[in-house]
This record gives sequence, structure tokens and C-alpha cells, in this order.
Amino acid sequence: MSKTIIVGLVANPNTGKTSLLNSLTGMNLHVGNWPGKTVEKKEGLINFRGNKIKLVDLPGTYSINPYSNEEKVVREFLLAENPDVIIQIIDVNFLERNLLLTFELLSLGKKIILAFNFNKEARGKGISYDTDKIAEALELPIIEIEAHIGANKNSLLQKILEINNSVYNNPSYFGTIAKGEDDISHRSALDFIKQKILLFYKSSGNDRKIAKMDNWLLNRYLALPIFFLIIYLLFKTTFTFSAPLVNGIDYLFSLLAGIIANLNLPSFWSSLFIDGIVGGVGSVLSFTPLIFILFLFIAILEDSGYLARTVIMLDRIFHKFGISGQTFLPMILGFGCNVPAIMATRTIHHKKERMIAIFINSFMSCSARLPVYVLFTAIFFPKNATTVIMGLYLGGVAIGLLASLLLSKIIKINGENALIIELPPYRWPSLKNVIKHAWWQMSMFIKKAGTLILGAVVVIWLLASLPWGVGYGSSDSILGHIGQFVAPVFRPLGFGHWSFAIALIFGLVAKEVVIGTLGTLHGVSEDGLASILPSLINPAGALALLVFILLYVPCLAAVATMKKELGSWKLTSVYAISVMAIAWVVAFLVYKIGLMLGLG
Amino acid sequence: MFLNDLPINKTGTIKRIFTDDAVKERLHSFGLIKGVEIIPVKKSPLGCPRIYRCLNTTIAIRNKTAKQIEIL
Repeated sequence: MSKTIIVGLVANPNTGKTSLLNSLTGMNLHVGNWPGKTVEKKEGLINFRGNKIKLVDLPGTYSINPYSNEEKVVREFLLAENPDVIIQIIDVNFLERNLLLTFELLSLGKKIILAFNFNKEARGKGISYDTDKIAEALELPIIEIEAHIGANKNSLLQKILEINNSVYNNPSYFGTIAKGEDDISHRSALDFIKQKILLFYKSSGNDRKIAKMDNWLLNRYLALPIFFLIIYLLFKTTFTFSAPLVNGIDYLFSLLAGIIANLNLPSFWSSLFIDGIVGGVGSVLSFTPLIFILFLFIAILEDSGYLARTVIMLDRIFHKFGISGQTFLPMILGFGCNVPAIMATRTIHHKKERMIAIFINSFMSCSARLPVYVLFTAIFFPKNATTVIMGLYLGGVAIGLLASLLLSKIIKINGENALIIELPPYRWPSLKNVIKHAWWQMSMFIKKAGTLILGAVVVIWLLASLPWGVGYGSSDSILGHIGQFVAPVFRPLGFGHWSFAIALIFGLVAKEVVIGTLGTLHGVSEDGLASILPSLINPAGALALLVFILLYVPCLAAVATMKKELGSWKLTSVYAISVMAIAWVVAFLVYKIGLMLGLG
Repeated sequence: MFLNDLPINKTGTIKRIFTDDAVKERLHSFGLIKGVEIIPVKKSPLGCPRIYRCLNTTIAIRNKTAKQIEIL
């Protein structure tokens, strides 16, 4: 049995690397995280003509230069794991820029194969080139592929075997572009490209298609209306499509609960299974259709080239708050659901900005909070309900922006995101790629966050059920006692009644549960709350409660996702404590101001 | 003259980059290297960043950064 050949896939972003990986490995792909990083790691094992080849997908990067702030994973992997062969995928439309990375790779002294992608597109656009001559000049093997349809993938695999068995030689010209031990001079590299490569590569110059599309999509007046239209359609379809799936999942679980109830288990066990485990698994699974569909759309936005455009639309405003336009899309997604929104911060490569984007996301009021706003405003502010709800949404955004301004000053790692980004060509996304991407995100969520959510839900069930025999979640349960114990903390905020404290704890499972809990605790239906609540709080207190619900720790699914994306319990705890403090202070101010305005 | 002063659709040649090293490296990896031609093609909707074409690639650069790139 021969040794497994390890192959690293390196490329600039948007060069079709994912397509190539998919066509080479099929479904046979292992997805995880790089050790200690929140960057996705994908590996695939292929059997080819009696040889085992392990493909390792590296994050798309423009540079592996030791001084660059870019994805360090790529350089670390290439130095530490010692791959036998490196394949660099090159978008032949942008040969010169892509070759700059090639020369950086050469400085590592590894065997390299270049895979030219998008040949048909480039030739169709009027770019003419002679691949054999370019290969000769570069002294590197080049295979022309079309990644999205898997063309020439066997020649590429064959070339891996050949190169793996050959002896490595530095190209003869390498001395002229090297600078020090592990770096190159970009200037000399570009001179070499001009003198030796561009003889065989003629580009027509302007790319009219990009300019034409950008004239519309980045138009001064149309850009934002178009963006919000796209986001509106995205939300509309996401929630329309996921609703029946979520309901279907709920239905299956209610069937399951019915079956368990009929088993005549001792009541402790049947409650553990029905309320605890089935409820917990249910709350994990109810997120999955949402994540899958939302990520389908995000992948389409990303692969089509539009995502990069959304980044520059409002950058000017976001920059004033210490972040960049890259935080824009995750923030908007947060209005739907914070869980996929926090996952979507993966499109931000700057570490500090990504942390800020994760921290502030829960201030974007997700759709689960809306039913609570609607119920309370209908009772306490029937005439101004819309204004109050709008105010809550805008208040969340304002606090999010202020928090990022503050965080950008506090967090002292790798400076500011300078936001130098490529606007890739507009391309039709491949259905297979986007489905696969959404599938990965969903399975990662179930694997990583799902277990945490399940555990947390069971703990809450336990606290709500013990000591055994009390009413579930009643004031006699442990949770009830905790609620009564912490209730005085909320007295200065105008909602000191113990039932609110318990409802807020249950709200950690999911925000809409706040209503149901209050109903159960007071033994009334949702309509009945309308007559009971005004006797417990005044309008100022109700407003403070809504502000608190907007700002305090989001649901457990969102916290579990944050933990997964931040990769640290410490940061997650710091976050949870800070938002509690922020929520308390802001709700306190709102209550006091409300009283002054006569809402008492 | 600096890159942010270059009018839309006029070609400039990069002369010197005055940013810090990390930003400079990133600009280099996009092909913004001494001697390379660069053309501003469009403003973004709010005016910053501007969109440039360089080595056939389309890139967005904030005016604050462009102010530190000297051109001929």
C-alpha cells in the first residue's frame, strides 16, 4: 500500500476552488475547524488509480506573505503539514494578480501544479493565451480545467501522481524574484510576468460586463433600494419556505410526544422525555430549516459576486463606528434570526471586526422578539404600538453601533480593518455548490451548537421540574425560587413581580416563550394577560421590560452559536455579563424617563 | 498626486505607498505595486470607498487609504 499523497488546495478567493473540491471529492468530504481557529477546514480523500490522495482545502487568500495580516492558517498549514503537492487554482481572467500568489508559494520550496480555471469564459471575452508556453516560461505544470463541470479532473489527478514522484527543483528564475529567505519581491515578480509571461497572454482590457452591472447595482440612488428589495425577498422566501418545515418538525415531535405519553412511563421519565429532551431536540431542529435556507441565499449572494458589493454600500457610515461595511449583511440577517446571522460573520476575515460583529448581533431584534413586543404594546400602548416597536428596532441598531464604536477602541488586536476588497466578476452560482455549502453550515450547527442547546434546555427543564411534584415552572420549582430571588433586581426597572423574572429565564430558551410562561404562571391564556398585566406593571415598566428583552442575553441557540464562532467560553461569558449590564442600565433609564413623561 | 485625487477614468501609475506594512502587503497582493497602472472606475453609492481597476482586477479602496498612495 502506497503512502497517502497530501495535496493542499490554494487560491485567491472567487477562483472556483470550492467547485474543484466538490467535483474531485463528490460527497466524500470531511468538514471541521482548523485547530484553535474558527476557520472552516475541509478535507477529502480520493482513490485514484491505486493511490490515495488527501485533498486539504485552504481558505481563499491573496497572500501567504509572512507580514500580511491575511489568513495565517494557509501559511501555517503549508509550513507545518508539509503537503506533498500544492495545487493553485488560477482564475485565468486575472492571470497577473493570481501569479503573484504563485511566486509567494514558490518561496516555500514545494511542488506546485497550476490549475487554470474559467478558460472558456476568458477566451469568450477575448483573452488569448498559450498555456503550454506559459507553463514553459514558469517551469511549472499547468492543467486547464473547468471546475464547475469537472472538466479535466482526471488529468489533474494524474499530474498529482507524476509530480509527487518527481524531484523538486526551484525554477531557474526564482533567484531574481526572491527577497530574503521566505519572501519575494512583488515588484520583481511583476517585472518577470511582464517580460516573460505576457508575451503569451493578451487581454482585451476592460471588462464591460462588470462595469455595466455595477452601474445599476452600485448606482448612487438605486443601490440601497435594490439591496433592501433583495433582503426583503430573502426574508420572505426564507420564512415562507421554512415555516412548513418547522411546523412539520413540530408535528413529528408532537406525534413522538404522544407515543411517549402512551407508554405509561413514571411521570418523571415521561416529563423528562417530552418536555426536556423532545423539547430540546425540537428547539435545535426548529432552527435547521432556517439556517439551511438562509445559507442557501447567502451562498448565492457570495458566489454571484453581489456580497462584496453590499460591503461597500454603507462602509462610509460603518467606518465612523470603527467597523466596516462587512458587518452590514450579518446585522440585517440578525433581524430574521441571530443564529445564522452570527454564523454569517464568517464572511468577515478581519479577526477583530468579526468579534465585534458577533458581539453586537444580538442587539438586532430577531423575529422571535416581535410577538412579545406586539402583545405588550397592544396592551399598554394601543395608540402608538407601531411607533414603540419601530423605536425598539432602531434603538437596538443604535446601541449596536455605539457598542461597536466602544469595542473597536477596547479590543487591542491587529488594528483596523482597512477594507481593501476585490469586487469579483458577476457569475451564476452553481446550484450544487450552494446546496452543499448550506448543508455544511446546517450540519456544523447541529454538531457544534446543537449539543450545547440540548444540554441547556434539559438543565432548564430540570430546574423547572424540581423538587419533583411541583407544577412545571411554577413559583415552587427551583426555577421559581430563582425567579423570586432575582426579582428584586428588576424592581428599580419597574417589573419587579416574580413572574417576570421567571419568564425572562424561560426566555433564554426562546424569546417568544416569555408570553407563554407569563400565561402559565398566571393561569390564563394570552388574551387573559391583557387584564392581568396592567395590575402588575405600569406602561413605563412595560416599556422597560421590552427594552430589557431586546437587549439581554439572546436565546441559548444564539449563545451556543456565539461560543462556537468565538471559540471561547471566556469571551462568551464576558459577552453575557456585559449585555446583562447594558440591558439593566438602559431599561432603568427608560423606566425613569418613562415615569417623568407620565407613563407611571 | 495621490490616488484619491485621481479623477474617474483617468490612468495613474503607482509611485509610492505610505501606509503601514500590513496594509501595504495587502495592497501588494492585489497588484498595487510601484510602476503598475491604476484607474478609478466608479464611486460607491456614498462616495467612499472608490472602485479601481488594476491588473485587470476590480477593487474597492477607502479614500483614507487612497490618500496614502502616491501616483504619477
